[in-house]
Amino acid sequence: MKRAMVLAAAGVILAANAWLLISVSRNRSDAPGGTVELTERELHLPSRSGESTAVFLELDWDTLSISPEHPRAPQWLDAAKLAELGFDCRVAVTRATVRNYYRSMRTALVFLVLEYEGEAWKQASPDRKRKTRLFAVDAGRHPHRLREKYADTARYIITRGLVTLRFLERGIPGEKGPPQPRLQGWIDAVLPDRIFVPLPHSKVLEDLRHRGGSSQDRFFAEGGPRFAVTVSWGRNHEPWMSGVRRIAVD
Amino acid sequence: MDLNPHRKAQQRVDRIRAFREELAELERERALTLTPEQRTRLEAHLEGSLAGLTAQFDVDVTESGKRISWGVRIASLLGSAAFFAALVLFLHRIWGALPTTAHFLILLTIPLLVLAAAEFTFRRKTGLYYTALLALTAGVGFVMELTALGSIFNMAPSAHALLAWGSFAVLVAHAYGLRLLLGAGLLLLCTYTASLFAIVEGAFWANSLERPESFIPAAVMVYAMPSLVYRRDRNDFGFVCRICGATLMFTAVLVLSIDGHTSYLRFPARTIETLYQFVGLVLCGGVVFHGVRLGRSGMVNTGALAFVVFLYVKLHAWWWAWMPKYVFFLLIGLTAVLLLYLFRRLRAGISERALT
Repeated sequence: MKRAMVLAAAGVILAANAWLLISVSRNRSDAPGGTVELTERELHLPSRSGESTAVFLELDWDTLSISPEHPRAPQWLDAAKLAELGFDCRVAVTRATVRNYYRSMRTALVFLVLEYEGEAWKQASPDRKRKTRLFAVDAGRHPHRLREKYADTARYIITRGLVTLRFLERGIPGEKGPPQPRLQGWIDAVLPDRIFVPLPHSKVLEDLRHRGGSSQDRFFAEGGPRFAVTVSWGRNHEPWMSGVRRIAVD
Repeated sequence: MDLNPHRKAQQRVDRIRAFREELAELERERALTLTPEQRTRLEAHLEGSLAGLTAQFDVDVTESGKRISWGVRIASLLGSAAFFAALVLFLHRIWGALPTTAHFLILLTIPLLVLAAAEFTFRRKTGLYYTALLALTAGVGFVMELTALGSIFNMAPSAHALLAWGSFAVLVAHAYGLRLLLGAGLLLLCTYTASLFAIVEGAFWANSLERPESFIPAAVMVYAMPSLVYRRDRNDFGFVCRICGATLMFTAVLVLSIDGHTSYLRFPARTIETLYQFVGLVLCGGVVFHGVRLGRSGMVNTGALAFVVFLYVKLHAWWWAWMPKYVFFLLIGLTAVLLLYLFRRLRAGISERALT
């Protein structure tokens, strides 16, 4: 009986790994989430952490937000969109107990649309425009519907993200007219927001990392992004890297 | 209570030592005097028993031996932690130079090898402590393995990993009779079931803590499990289940009694908080009563501690805002004195039951 338990425990390890490999294989069998070439602006290379030689790229995205104080609160993520995402927004924002009611709303797992070098980026303020060209432009519960709406897989990425609802009692700072209470959505995270760089691609980026520092300011100082990476988002909307190239800096 | 063989052997050795000390005390007080023949036979029997237990289970027969054993255990704990840290840091250093296939194989092999080592020490009867240490390391290795693979393959965090880790811990705990690993496994499985509620709701699974009620069904099941599963409880697993179930239940109810907005119930938050304050106090009483009936001081203490926390939270809610602070703390002190009196009465009751 004891030996059977130990074998079952080993079986759990093997089964979990088999499930993981099947999941990865399924994800990479197709790229309905899009295949986009992003540059160092959107995928920046963090500096070495401790003694680790593993290379990761961190996804940097933006959105046209309701105000500069709330950079992760997109203008399009209003009460109507939140209701579409499954939040129960039926209680009027003028009711006395509404603050606590909306405070108890849970973070929702949704699908986000990230647009590369599109209209949202063109409309952004100059200081935000120069940081990243990847902008969150929409969200939904069904990825295939989003893909129907944003058909260009080379420009629109569909990935997972976390959205929360917040009750803004005094409206948006800087808004014209008297402050109006309103519901506003926040993008808490894009999942996952780090991409592992496997061999042989990591060799291309390794010496860039050795030069110290991780900030995007460095490539601004050097005249532009130093590399471009082709990334695909698969059937599970999880990314993987399929290519990297160095960009000659003037 | 039928514990595993090593623990049982150590308990017998401890009883023999206590018996010898008590016998010497009785002889000094002239309450009992053995004849030389009786003494010789008794000593021969006790020495034989101790020799047999030492040879079979590597138990500590003296107090100083026990102290040295603890030293050895602490040294081996620190040593194994240092070896594990060295391995992890070494892998960090070479990780970038290895292909993904090598990453996968290395990560898969580590928990399997450590589990095999745990099995080896168990079969060799090296000591349950070393088996427990290796089993725990295998569990930590498995957690790190799935986390690292998820990171390498850019996977979003999945709740199903909790199911795998929890099942592994429960199975290994049953294989070697390890209570700590069982507790960890049960908590992981309870968190997994709570995360399923979040997934059904369309929320992110890791935010299951935002709805403490989602932990309650699993906590109740874990608490009730001993009467259904452990009919012959050789490792005292029933006690672990009850402590884990009760602690999880108290924590969930305590959070709900403080913040009613986190409830699934669609009542005003104040009503929900009052309801859960009442439920909490009843549950505490129930666990204390159950602990007294089973004769388990651990359960009585858990229930009593939760009762004190609930009571103080309630007193804070009632009095803190309007009362001068020195009067508040004076009343808390008086409440503590009252509770001390009640617990002493309760302890006297338990001792009386034990003597009769």
